Amino acid sequence: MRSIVVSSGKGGVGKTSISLNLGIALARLGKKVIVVDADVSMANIGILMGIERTPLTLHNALMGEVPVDDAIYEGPAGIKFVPSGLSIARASKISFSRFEPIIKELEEKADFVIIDSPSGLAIDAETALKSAKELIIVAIPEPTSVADALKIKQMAEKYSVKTLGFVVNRIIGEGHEIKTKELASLLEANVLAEIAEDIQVRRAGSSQQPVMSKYPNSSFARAMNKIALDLCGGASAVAQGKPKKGLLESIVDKLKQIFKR
Amino acid sequence: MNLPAGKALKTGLDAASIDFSSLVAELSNKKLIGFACVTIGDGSGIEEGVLVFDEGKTVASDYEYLKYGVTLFGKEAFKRIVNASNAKYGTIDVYQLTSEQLHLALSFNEQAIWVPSPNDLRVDKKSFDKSFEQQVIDEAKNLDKSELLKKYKLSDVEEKRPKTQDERELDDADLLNNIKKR
Ligand SMILES: Nc1ncnc2c1ncn2[C@@H]1O[C@H](COP(=O)(O)OP(=O)(O)OP(=O)(O)O)[C@@H](O)[C@H]1O
Ligand SMILES: [Mg+2]
Repeated sequence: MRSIVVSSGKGGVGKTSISLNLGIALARLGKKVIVVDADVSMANIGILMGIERTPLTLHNALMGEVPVDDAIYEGPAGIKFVPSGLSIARASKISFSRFEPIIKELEEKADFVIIDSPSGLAIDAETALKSAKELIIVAIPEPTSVADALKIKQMAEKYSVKTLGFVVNRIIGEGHEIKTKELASLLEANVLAEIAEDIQVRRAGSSQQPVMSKYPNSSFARAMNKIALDLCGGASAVAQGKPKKGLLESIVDKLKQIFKR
Repeated sequence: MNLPAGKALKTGLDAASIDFSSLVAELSNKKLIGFACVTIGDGSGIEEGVLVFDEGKTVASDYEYLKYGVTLFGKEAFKRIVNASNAKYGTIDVYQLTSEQLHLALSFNEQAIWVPSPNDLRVDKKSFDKSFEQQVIDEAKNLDKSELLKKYKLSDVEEKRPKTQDERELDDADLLNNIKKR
């Protein structure tokens, strides 16, 4: 159904951590989720979950050696994932022409296909971006990250990929950091979540367990739950009956009457 | 705030002739589950504030400047609601919600949740203060995209959109042609 690419341009800002854990949060809401490790040269998703026996990977599917079905594995909390291979020798030979059809095929099999993009804006990242229908931008509150995020957003516009919004990650709360409101204005996009620098993310990474399983009450995990809820149409569920905007119109009418007095 | 409309208890009260403190006291005494909504036109655009009650206790508030698309929450919003109650051109409406509607609504408007102390609720009738709106205008100016691009020295990024794969291939083709021509 939906395919969402998680991109940032800048490296090391949290794309992989967010892709994996957001996938788990969505699965816990009862959604069928496939997380795709599109970082073909720096495969990380499998390592983060401590899952290593994945003989066939996205590499084989991209080379046309096997159907992508053969490279789908079971992950935690009922998610499925498509790992990338760890071999550099293979990664250097990869062609990306099959990437988009592979994503289309995975869309048929899941409610959400979450694509963990590589950093940069070279052909691998660009292919990941344009193959998805929607985009989540990850940024940290620094000018370099904003510059990269702006480029990602422009590229998304070029390919008509819908920007759902951005996540500000690794906030320390110091005065020199770019404020979230400033980021929203610069990127002209919605804030999906603000996430503090949280040592538990690193700890979970070192123990090779997803944050969602190891630290379900961490600020990072709560942010993932919030985004997952938003993606499933959270707020619109509240608008039972007449939404308030309709109410406003009647109030504006009333105001006009008062102005006339 | 994202609220269901609920059942109208009072509509079209004239803000200018109402004593806001006694209205809040009345809604508290009646153990209202619902919200009061004040809409005013004294500033340069329409402004709307919402004060949410759970069994008579104030539990959340927000205040929206429709012209600027700016919404404030909690205490900041409450100050502006009090100010709005002093407006010349304003109406106040009161709506009732079911307990389920209210709690669902609060869970989706977490940032608006704010429980004032009794002191916060003691307000005197004053005249409408336009400086609240000015603050919002000033902040909006600070958040202007091109100003921010300048501030962080990123103006170049916006001008130079990265080239797509197709465009890069075209460039490569051009380059090849030029080389061949030589
Ligand atoms: N909110 C956070 N608090 C603390 N550490 C974090 C946070 N988010 C991510 N990290 C850590 O930052 C490092 C990079 O995270 P991650 O691998 O998810 O980023 P990435 O954008 O995928 O990187 P790359 O560009 O290399 O693919 C990891 O060590 C991760 O544990
Ligand atoms: Mg990564």
